[in-house]
Amino acid sequence: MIYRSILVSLLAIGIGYVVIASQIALDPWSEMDAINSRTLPYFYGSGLALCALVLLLQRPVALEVSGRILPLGLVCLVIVAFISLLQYAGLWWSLAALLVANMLIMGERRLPILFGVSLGVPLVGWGLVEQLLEMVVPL
Amino acid sequence: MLEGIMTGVATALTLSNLSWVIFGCIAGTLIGMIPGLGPISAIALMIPISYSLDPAGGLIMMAGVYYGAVFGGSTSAILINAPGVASTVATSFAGYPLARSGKAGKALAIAAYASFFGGTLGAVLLLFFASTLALFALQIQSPEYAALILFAMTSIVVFAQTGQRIHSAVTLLLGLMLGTVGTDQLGGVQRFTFNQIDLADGIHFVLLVMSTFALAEAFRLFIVQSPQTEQKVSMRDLKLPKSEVRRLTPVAGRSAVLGFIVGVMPGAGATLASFFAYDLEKQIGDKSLEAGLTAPEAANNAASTGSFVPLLSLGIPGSGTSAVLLGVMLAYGLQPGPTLIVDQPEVFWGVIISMYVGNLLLLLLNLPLIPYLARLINLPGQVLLPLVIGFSLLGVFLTTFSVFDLGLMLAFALVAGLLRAYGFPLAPMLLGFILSSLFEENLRRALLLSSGEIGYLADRPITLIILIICLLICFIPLWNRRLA
Repeated sequence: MIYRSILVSLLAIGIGYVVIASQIALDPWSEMDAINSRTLPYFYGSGLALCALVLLLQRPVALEVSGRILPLGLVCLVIVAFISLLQYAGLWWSLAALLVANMLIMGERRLPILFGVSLGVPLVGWGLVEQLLEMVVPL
Repeated sequence: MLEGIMTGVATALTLSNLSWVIFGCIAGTLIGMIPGLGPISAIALMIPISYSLDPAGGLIMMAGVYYGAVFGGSTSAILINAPGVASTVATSFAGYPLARSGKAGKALAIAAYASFFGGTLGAVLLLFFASTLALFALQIQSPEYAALILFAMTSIVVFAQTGQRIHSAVTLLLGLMLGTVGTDQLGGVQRFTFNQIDLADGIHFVLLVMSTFALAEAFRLFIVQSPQTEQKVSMRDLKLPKSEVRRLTPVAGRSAVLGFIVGVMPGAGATLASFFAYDLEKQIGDKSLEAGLTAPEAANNAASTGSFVPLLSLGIPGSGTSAVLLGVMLAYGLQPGPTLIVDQPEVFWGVIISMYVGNLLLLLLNLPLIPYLARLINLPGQVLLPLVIGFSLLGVFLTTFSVFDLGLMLAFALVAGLLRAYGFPLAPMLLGFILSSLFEENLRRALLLSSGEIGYLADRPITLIILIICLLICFIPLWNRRLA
């Protein structure tokens, strides 16, 4: 079912891509070119739709879904939180929070490791990137 | 030429220049290991230091930085499947599975030996064929590039595993489509940006590679929790058995020659060379993981050396890295080109010899570090996977400084993970992405030159030969089926 949904999505992406490609604004000179900004996207989009269609006609691939989907969802949520936190807490504190949260989700409970890794890595990163290489993180 | 070589040796082997190349190797390795920072960033970051040195010393240090950064990038590609730069993507295809199977030390050692071999052979070829190859490189123009890229794309689909060809075509097309996002360089119009300013410059390669490889792999390992083989690496493990050396030497040799030739062509660079070499080896050469790792490593180092041919002989930078180096040379008041060898022989030969010295020193400096680097993979999953996720996000953010790109990365990683779980290979997607703009620009430029006449492509002998080969390889699957 999921496999078929993927193929249907790919088919839709291919068709949608061709439709959007047809709406790319061209100047009159480009329209006369043998290959302009739209030409290759037409090929790519229709090629993808065709391939997806061929795969849809073949035998579907079966896959057993693991029971660890929920924790993976939590990891994704943590990444979203990291992205949202960047503006407010800065790169290195957000990275520390990301590391500690992900380690907790994945089952790490030893405090020295939790704090050592989540504080040590951002500290080394800060020292290397901002102090040694003098890069400015624009946040 | 012998006099020139001696001048180069004398310049490269002074105590101060040797110290600078050692410093460059160490700094380059450290910077290259950070996902998102590759050779270009490493060289750019070292420019302020190079200004305090004389031209020969500065360029010699840069050679060390360059090779160090390439090796550092390979290390993160092999150990955590996070190739920070395009030229080490192919390294991760065989290097990462080798590391996961308990041979991380061996994988790193093979990468170091293959890089050394490729770089050395490249330096020798550069020494003898620089001027001849520079003239050949001038023959390779837009039509030939377009045909060559078409050949690369065709071969990746045709030579995919049986039953995987359409899946490979799907991901290749997805990569090509992603490569069209952003401002069209020739037409000047924005395509598929949905009025998002963050997409105006297109999707960054590091974003795609980190999401489809490092982050998606971390997600997969998180779900699968595959048993991890403990890595016990000692210095003795770094010595490859004679039988393996005999088996891998021809692989490194042919990959290095191929890489050097590809590297000589302006614009092609180490990325294409490593993909070509990996693909060639996988399809018609040695199919082992060790060979799959040797081929791209030898090719990308040889290609990097090859890219110095148009730079030193003609003053044309053949890759992003050599463009930065050109800037450094111009800042020193040097004008790379045919007159460099006459006006500044110590610089010309010094750079060539220092490439060899840099390669040798890198091998000597990094081999003792391998047992310690390999232990990184022994970290328990609940620590390693958060680190991989953290490094991936950090790598992309340090490259693009865009919060939007981090969101895009998460979306790509989820889609890539799903596609991979259902048997879609992701390597063609990266190849498609890299080749998309190159293909379109060269094809359109070729047709602009010919006033839109498609027949012009067939009028050029090299283009015609490549197109014929392209057509012929399409029949290989049919031929194989007939034989079976």
